Amino acid sequence: MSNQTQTEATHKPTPSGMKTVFAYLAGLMLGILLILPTLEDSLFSMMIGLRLDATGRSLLFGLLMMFVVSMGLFTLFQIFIFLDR
Amino acid sequence: MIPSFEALVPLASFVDQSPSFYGLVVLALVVTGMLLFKRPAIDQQTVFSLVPWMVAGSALFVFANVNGYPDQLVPVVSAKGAYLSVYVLLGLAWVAMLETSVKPETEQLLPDYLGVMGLGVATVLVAFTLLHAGALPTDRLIWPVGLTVGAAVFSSVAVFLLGSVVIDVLAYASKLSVLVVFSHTLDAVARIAGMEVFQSINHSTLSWYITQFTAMTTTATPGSEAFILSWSLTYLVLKVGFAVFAVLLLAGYARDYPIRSSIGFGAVAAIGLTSAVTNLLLIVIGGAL
Repeated sequence: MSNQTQTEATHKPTPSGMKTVFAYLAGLMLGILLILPTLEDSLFSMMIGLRLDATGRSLLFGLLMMFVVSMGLFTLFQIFIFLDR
Repeated sequence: MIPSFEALVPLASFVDQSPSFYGLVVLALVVTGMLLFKRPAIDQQTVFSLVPWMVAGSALFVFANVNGYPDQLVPVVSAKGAYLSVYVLLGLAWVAMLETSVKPETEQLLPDYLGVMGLGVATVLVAFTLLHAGALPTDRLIWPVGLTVGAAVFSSVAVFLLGSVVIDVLAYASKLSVLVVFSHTLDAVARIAGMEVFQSINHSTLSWYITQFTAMTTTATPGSEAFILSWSLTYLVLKVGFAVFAVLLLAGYARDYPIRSSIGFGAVAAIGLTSAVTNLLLIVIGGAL
């Protein structure tokens, strides 16, 4: 490998501080997504008006969870795109 | 007599799963297809970026075993499902990053961002696993730190010595070699400590066979000091031996086939590291699976 190629191979841009923070935040959100289902019972016990059986509760909870997390991730990646340009 | 399904199919425990697990497998295959289509650059740095995700997979496995998930979700967060779920999230995040990055410089930095994102996932899962444990006795925290530092020092010295004999190891894959030896050494010492000091870990298949072998070949009584020393040393030597063998095998390919070699190193490290982190977390929370 020539000296020039070696220099090119070792040169790497420095990571952006903002993007690093956003990547970490996105990771925290994904982590929360994974633990969220364990809070299902305690969350729904607070919603007194809903008379759903266990399957209905799980379905509704799953839909809510997917909506919240996908919106969150979408927003984060939008910021990521904005920072990239 | 008709043989059972388990006897006919060696991987029966793997195929005998719920529909949600099959759904997860399909999702994992789709994500793999997307990654193969996007062809992300894979190098040694990429493997290190995946380490936090390996930790996250193990933490989810332990967390799912000590927390109540809804029945429908249990197959996708326990045992193999935990690792597959984390893999799906990792794959989706990776594909999303590849899609959103425009500048070539950003693409070079994607492994860094991916690693940081994995760190975020692991932070939440490890924190909530520890929170579940409540009060943590000091010795349960000191042991994992001591074992990790010990395994790191041992693996660095071992790889340095190995590299002085086989030049490829230090020349092309020194850091990955340390990671592979470290992960399997840590797995072995954490399992031995968890079983013999804290009684909070069960046998793996390999350690179980070794104890059976030790019982057959030595006169030491099971549970005695000589017996524990005998099986522990055999287990440790076998685990480290496997890691060294893998390093020697993969380092030879590191110069000519860097991508394949990195994937191989990553796979071997993942086997040891996921198990090691699971064992360490079980020591800390004092739980048994």
